[in-house]
Amino acid sequence: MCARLYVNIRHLSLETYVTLSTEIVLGTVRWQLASVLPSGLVVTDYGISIQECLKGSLNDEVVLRLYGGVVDQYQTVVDRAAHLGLNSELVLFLCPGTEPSKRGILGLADGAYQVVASPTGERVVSGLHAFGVPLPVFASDIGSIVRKERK
Amino acid sequence: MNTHKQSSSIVQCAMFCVALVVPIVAGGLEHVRTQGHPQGCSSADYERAEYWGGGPYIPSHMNALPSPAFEVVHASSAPNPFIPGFPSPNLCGAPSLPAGITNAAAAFNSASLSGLDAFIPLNRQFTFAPAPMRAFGQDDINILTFHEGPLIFGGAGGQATLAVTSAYLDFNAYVPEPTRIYEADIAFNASSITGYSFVDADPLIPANYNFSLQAPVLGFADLQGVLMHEMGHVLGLGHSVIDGQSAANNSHFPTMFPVAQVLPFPAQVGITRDQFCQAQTYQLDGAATLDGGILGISARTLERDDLSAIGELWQPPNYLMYYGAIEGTVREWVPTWGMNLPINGVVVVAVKADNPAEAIRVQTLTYSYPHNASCDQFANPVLGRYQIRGLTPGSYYVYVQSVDQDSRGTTCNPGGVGPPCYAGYYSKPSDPPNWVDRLQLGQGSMLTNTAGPFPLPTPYPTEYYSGLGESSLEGSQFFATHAQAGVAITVDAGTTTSGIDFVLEYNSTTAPTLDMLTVQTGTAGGPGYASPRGLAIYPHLGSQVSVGFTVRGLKANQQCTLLSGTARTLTLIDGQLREVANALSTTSADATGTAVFQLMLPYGNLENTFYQVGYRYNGKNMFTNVVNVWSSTQ
Repeated sequence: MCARLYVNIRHLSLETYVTLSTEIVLGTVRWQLASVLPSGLVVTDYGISIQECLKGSLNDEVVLRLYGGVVDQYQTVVDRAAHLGLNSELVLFLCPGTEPSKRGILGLADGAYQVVASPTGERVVSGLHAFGVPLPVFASDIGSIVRKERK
Repeated sequence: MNTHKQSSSIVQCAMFCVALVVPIVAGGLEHVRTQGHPQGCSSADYERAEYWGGGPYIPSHMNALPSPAFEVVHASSAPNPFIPGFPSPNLCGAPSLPAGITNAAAAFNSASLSGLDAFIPLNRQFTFAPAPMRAFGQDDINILTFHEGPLIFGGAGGQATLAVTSAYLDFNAYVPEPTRIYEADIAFNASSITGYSFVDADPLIPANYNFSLQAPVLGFADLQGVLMHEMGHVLGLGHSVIDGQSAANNSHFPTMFPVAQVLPFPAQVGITRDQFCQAQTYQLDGAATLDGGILGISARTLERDDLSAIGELWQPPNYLMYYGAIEGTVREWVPTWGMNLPINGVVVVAVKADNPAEAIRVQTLTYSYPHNASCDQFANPVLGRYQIRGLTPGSYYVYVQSVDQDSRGTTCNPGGVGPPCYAGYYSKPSDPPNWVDRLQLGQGSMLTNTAGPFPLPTPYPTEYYSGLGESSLEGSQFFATHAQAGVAITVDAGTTTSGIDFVLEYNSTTAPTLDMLTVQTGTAGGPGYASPRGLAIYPHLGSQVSVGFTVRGLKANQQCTLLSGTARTLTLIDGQLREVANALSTTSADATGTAVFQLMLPYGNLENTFYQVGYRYNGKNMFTNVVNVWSSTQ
């Protein structure tokens, strides 16, 4: 069975993303495992090893559960899904997941920022609100918003 | 260019198709695995997804959901003690449904969609009826549900998601495309406490039906507009990849645009239901939310882009006799190859030239296959090919939408691995976030060329077709960045105009671009919404608004003139077509080619005014893009 999920999404400001996220983490995709729900939709769990929590507190690993994936003859394709390649490094804005022990990504692709090396070797962040922004700068921006929230 | 008669949508295949890589069949059809098995083409009815940028997905089987019947349920955890079997207190009025639902159904079920086009009767009849709670998932029952909590949306974007449509698809053995939607479920994100609150009917009428008992954090969303977008998915439409550059007041965004547009929403009194199903007055104040308005109202009206897509998918008799098409290829300069190579995944748009104020625009993507490709065409793909169909007869400009330079990072990969590439609206990091309607193309419709993965050598600005002689080295002020410098193409009913081939300008600097950068009011309430596309002004801001316009990309000390108009119509002046006619003031660019205009605009004159800057180059009148100012009272 094949299903296609179309998601009607709203682009939000970075401030709103920070506010609505339960946690924001810098992490690396370590494993992924797809399964079929009774509804016939495929979900994929992603294990993220956490290097740094930019908001909230989590242990060394967080598991994400997102719609999409392939299991035998079942396939679910999600429009605007985040690309979570194995061993890729990302900054992820997390939200409550489909079950308590797992998280989702706020805004799907909009809430997943890729961390890559620039031509000069600097780690830079690319995503909805950051294009080639040095990782420390992006983390600092998020930190500022989090501190402002607490006040 | 040349024209030829369109052929029937039914094709007889005699050669090999490409192998199907998705081994999936369900829904009562024979289960067939086709992976790795090139099949002889014997299926007669399939189509390619050229029109709707969400990827190679468009079902074409005419039996798909012939009368999509939806059960409207609410998956709230709170049981409704007053209507047994109905878990939600928010559908207290059952069996009567919110007007937004019935209005959306009526809009699609009408004999002539939106009254815009007498030749596109939709032979699908949507029905909605209240029902007990059912699960979101494949069970051969279509549901429309208002869902609270993360059970659905936790895996689909959380609070940033307004709604999701899950379409369940059939494939057949012979073509690499889904052929039928056999079920569809729609879920609205009703987690309004931290997200959106759906409102019903016209928000200007204080008789709203609200699905939330609490004020939303993010904003209000229009039930009818959002539902019409989701119903488009049920019919098989993906997301439109058209830009919105001429969309004054957002009114011309296609219903299938992937990002809901927001309009300011003044405070008013609405009606909601408490847990006892009693009507309660409720203060609806869009300005108090983070979004500052209401989402999705513009989606209530189907635009030409939507209508053409629907018409192509659900062709009524003689449809092809009444509409025309434009086709061609798009190429780019690839230095490592030293030649122009075709590029897939760019957005091509046809805009009606004789009435641009109506913003009749139809888009497509370049693919390797034409619409209704024959197996022969599948076996011999033409890279970079595009076809824009469903065009009413008349004169059109055709342009390739800009490609986002910011997506050209070192890891942007069109193959589906790594961050996605973007095309479409030329967004910049400096854009206000809520207006960054960047288009993310789905896997399968990502930018790609025959020279390998990105990065490509340069971003491309919007480029209009300028006739024979297109080249990659036309120069930044010679290639057609605006309609005025383009060549209009005649489209006749029942014919296809071919040979509208583009060669994207290589290594150009973007032509002079007008931005509206500053808005100062000196009164409380905020500046309204500013974006490169324009500005929405709150009505309560005061009697005057100071607005700054900046043009970049001119030559040093170049004279330029700010023009304005209250309607965007093409007018022939000095032998050149102008979109905006009235000259306001003239100034000179500085040494960096930047010119600034500062205006003090009385509020009463703000509604739907268009601004553009004109300048002379090599004896020709040239013009920047147009930006719009509109009032939030619209």
